[in-house]
Amino acid sequence: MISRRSFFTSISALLVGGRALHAATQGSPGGDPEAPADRLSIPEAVQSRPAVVEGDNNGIIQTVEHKLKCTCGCNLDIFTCRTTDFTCTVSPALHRQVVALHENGATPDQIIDAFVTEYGEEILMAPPPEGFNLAGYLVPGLAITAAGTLLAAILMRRQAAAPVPAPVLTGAANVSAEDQARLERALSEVVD
Amino acid sequence: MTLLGEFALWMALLAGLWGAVVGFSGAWRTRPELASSTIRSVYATCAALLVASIALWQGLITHDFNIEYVASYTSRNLPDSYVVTAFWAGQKGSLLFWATVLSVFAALAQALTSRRHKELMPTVAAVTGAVVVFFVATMLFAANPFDRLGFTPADGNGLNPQLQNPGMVIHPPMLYLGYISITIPFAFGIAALLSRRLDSGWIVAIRKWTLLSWLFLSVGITLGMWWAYVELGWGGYWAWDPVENASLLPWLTMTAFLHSVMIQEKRGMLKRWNLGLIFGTFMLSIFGTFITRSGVIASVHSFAQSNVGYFFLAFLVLAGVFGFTLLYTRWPQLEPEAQLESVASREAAFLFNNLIFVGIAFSVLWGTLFPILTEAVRGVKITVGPPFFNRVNVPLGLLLLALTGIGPLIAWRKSSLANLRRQFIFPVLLGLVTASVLFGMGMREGSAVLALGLIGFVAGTILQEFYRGVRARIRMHGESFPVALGLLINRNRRRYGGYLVHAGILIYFAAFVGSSFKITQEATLAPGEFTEIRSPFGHVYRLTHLGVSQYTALNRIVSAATLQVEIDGKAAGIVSSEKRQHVDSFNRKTFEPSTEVGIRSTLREDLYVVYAGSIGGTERANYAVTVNPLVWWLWFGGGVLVLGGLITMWPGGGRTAVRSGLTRTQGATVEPAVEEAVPV
Amino acid sequence: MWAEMLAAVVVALVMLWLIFQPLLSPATTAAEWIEPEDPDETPRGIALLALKELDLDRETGKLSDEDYRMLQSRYAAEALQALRNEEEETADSQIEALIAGQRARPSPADLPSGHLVCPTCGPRPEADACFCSGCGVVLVQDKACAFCGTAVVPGQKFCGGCGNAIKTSGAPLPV
Repeated sequence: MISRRSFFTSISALLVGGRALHAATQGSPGGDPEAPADRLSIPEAVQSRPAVVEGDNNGIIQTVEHKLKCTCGCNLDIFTCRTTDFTCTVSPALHRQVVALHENGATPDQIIDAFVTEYGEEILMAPPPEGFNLAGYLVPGLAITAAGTLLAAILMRRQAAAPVPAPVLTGAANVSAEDQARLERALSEVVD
Repeated sequence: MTLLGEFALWMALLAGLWGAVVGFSGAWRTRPELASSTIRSVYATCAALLVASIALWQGLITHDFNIEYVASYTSRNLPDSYVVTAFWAGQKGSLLFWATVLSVFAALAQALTSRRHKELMPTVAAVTGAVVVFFVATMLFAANPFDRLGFTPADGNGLNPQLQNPGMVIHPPMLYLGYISITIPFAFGIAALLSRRLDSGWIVAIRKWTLLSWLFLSVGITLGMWWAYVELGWGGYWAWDPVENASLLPWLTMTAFLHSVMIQEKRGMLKRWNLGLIFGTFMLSIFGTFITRSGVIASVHSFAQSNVGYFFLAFLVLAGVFGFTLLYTRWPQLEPEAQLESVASREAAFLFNNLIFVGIAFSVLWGTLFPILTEAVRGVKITVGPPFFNRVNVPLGLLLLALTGIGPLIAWRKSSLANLRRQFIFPVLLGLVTASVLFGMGMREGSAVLALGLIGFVAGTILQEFYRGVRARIRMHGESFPVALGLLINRNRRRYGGYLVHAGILIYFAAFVGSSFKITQEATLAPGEFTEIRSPFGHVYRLTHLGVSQYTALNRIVSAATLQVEIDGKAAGIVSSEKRQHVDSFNRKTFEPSTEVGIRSTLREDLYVVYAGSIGGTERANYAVTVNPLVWWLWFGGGVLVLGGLITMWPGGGRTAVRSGLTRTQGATVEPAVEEAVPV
Repeated sequence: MWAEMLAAVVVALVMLWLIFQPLLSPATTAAEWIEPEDPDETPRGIALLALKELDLDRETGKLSDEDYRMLQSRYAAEALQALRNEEEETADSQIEALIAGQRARPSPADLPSGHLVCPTCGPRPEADACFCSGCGVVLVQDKACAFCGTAVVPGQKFCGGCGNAIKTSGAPLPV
C-alpha cells in the first residue's frame, strides 16, 4: 500500500513539479504564453463552467426553476440540477431558456406555461391540480379525513351507548383484608 | 476463496430450508429434539453466512479482480476503509450483507429471548430461515457476489466517488440494520398467530425488537440525510426521493406501532391492528429494497439496479398474502379485552396519532407510486417532486406535531374538563408566546410561525411532564431535585425516554422550518474578488476568493477552491470546497470530477459552499453559496432521539423483582419435603 | 485450493453436527436461554408497575380522584389475580418438581438384582456396600426380626413387632 502510494505521489509530484519548474523558467504560469495568467496547472481535473451572470441569482428565476424539472433524467428541478450536477448539459440550457423568457418580460406563470407548451406536463415538478392529478393531491387527505371521521363517529356512539359507569368502589370493596395485605406487601417490594 | 464462499451460501440455503420446513411443519411440537434442531439451524445458517462474508471480504482486501464484484466496485488505489465497506457498495454484496446481518439477528433473537416464549421460538426460526433462504436464493440464482470473470483485469473500476464518504461507510449498514431487524418482530407475530398463543406475552418480545429496529432505522435515515447534505451538494438533506421515501415508510408505521402497542399492553385493545402494523412494516421494508434495487422509479440513490427487484416484488406479495391470511384466520382469537370509553382519553389520542402516522405513510407511498399510477391511467409519467410532497405532507406533519403535544397531557380512559385545563394551560401559553414573539420579530411566513408555535407548545408539554414528575417525586419520597429527576427517568424509562424522543423530533421539526429559509446564490470570482450574501438572520457574509490549489492524493487529483469568510466585517476563517478527479492506478481518469462541499457550521446556520467549476480552466471559480439556517440542530436532534431511544429500551428495570421471598418461593429449588421408603 | 476445500468440509461438518446432533441424541434438552425473564414484563410486574404509575399520575395531576379510584381498583384486582396465579404456578411447579424428582430416581426394577437400596437415597450402585454412600445409613441387615419374624425394612434399628434390636448380616438385599 505504502509503496504504491509513494510511487503514485512521486509520479504526480514529477508532473506537477515539472510544470512548476517549466513555468518558472518561462516566467508565465502554465507555460503557454497565450494562456491566461491564472491558468490551473491541471485544468482538466475541474469542470469548465460559463461565468455567472446577473440573471442567475434572480429570485424570480430561482423560484420558477424550482418548479420545472430538468429533462436529463436526474429527477431534479432545473435549479437544483444546474447547481449540483455539474456534468449535466441540459439544465444550463433550460436555465438560459428561462432567463431569456424572463428578460423578454414574461411573468413566472407565463414562463411555466411556455415550458408546459413546449415540453408537456412532465416538465412540472408538481403536477397541476386538475383532472386525474387531483387524485394525487386529494386522495391522502380525503382518506385520512374519512377514516378520522369514521373513527370519531364510532367513538362518540360508543361513548353515548356506554352504560353509566358502575360505582367505582365495587372492585375495591370485594378485596379481602388478606388480599389487601398481600397486595400492599407486593407493592412495598417494588423499587420506587 | 470464492469456492468456499459459494459453498457456504449453498450450505446456508440448505440449513435455512431445513429450519423453515421443520419449523413450519409443526412436527417439533411433539418432538423436542426437532425443535432443538430447528433452532440450531439458525445458528448454523449464521455461521455459514459469516464464512461467506469473510470470503467476500478476503477477495476485496486481496484485490482479487478476477471476482466480478471486486473488479466492479474497487480498485488498487481505493483507500483501505472504502475497500472494506465496498462490501455493501453494490447489489450483490448488499444482498450478502443483508442475509448475514439477518442471520445474526435471528441467532440473537433465539439466544436472547426469555424462556417464557419458548414455544414460539421454532416458528420464529422458521420465519427467519425462510427470509434468509429468499435472500440466499436470490444471490445464488440471480446475483452471486462470488461470480468470477473470464479474465483478470489489471485493476478494478473503482468506487463511485459519491460513495467515497465517511457517511457512506456507516449510513447503509445502519439503514439495513433497521430494515433487516424488522424481520424479527414479523417472525414473532407470525409465530404467535401460528401457535395461537395470543395472550399478552408475545407483544413484549415484539416491542423490544421493534424498538431496536426503529432506533437503527432512525439513525440510518438521519445519517442518510447527513450523507446527502455533505455529499450531494444541493444544500439540502431531504428531497422526497423515492429511496428516501422508502426508508421513511417503515419508520412511520413502526412509530405508529410503538405508540399503539401501549394501548395493547395497558388495555388489551388493538391486537389485530398492531399485528397488521408489524406485517405492514415488514412489507414496506421489502418494498423499500424493491424500489432501491429495481429502478422502477428513478432515484438519485439507486446505485445498483437489476432484475433482482422482481424477486423482491414476488417475495413481497408472498409474505403479504401469508401474513394477512394468517391474521384473518386468527381474527376471533384477537378480540379486544376492553372498549374505548371516551373521545377525550389517551386511548383515543393514540388512535388519532396512529391514523395520522399511517395516513402520512399512505400519502408518501401514494406520491411515490403516483408516477406509475398516472402512467397506467393516462400514459404520462408525471413527476411528483418536493413541491407536491410538501403541499400534501406539511399539513399532516403539523397535525402530528400538535398531537405530540396533546397526547401525553391526556389521561388514560377519560379526562375531565378541569383536568384538561390544568394540563394544557402552560403548554398552550408557551406556544402562543413563541408564535407572537416570532411574529413580533418580523417573521411573516404563516406556516413557519404556526410550526414554531406548535413546537413551543410541545416543548411546553415535555417540560411540564418532567417538572411535574420531579415535583411529585419530591413530594412522595422527599428527594432532592437532581436525584428526583434521575430516578424519575430511571424508574419510568419508557415514558421519559419517549419524551426525550419527542424532544428530538421537535428539534428535527425546528431544523426543517429553518431550512425553508435557505438562501442560495451563485458567483464567479477571480482570486481576490468577493461576493456578499445576506443571512436570513440579517448579518452579511463577505466571501473573498483566495484561489484554487491543486494536488494529488491517493486516488484522486484534488482542486481546492478556498474562500475567506468575513461576517459583518469580522474575520471568520476560511472555507474550502473541492473538485476531485478520481484516477485509477494507471493515472487514467475514472468517473467525472466530483464535488466536496465546504461547510462552516454554527448553531445558528451553515455556510455551505460548492466549487461549481472553473472559468475556462483558470483560477476564476464559480461558486454556489447557500446559507442554511439551523441545520446543525438536525444532527443534534438525532443525538437526542437516539439517547431517548436508548433510555427507553435500556434493559433490566427489574423494579418488581422478588426480593424478600415473602410473596413467592422459588419452585425450581424446592427439595421434595416428603420421602417415602422404598418397598423392600 | 486444498486449504479452501478443507475449510469447506470443516464448515459443512460443523453445520451438520449443529443441526443434527439433537436428533442423534434426543435426550439433550433445548438450547439454554441466556436472557432470564424480566420480572417487570410478567403479568404481576405489569400490574404492580401500573399501580405505581397511577400514583405518579395522580400526583402530577393527570388523573381525577374518581378515575384514580376506578383504575386503582381494576389494577389492584389484576395484580391480585397475577399474584394468585403465580402462587398457584409455584405450587404446581413444586408438585411437578416432586413428581419429576421421583421419576428421575431410577426405580429398583431398572437395576440388576442384588443391588442395595437405601431408604433415603434409593437404590445404590455399589452391590456390596455396608453403608449408603449417600447418607451413611446401614444398608445390609436381616429381612425379618430374628426373634418374632416380623418383616423389617433397611435402616430400622428395632423390630416393630417385639422391640428387639435388629441384627445386621453380610448378605445383600434382594430387591
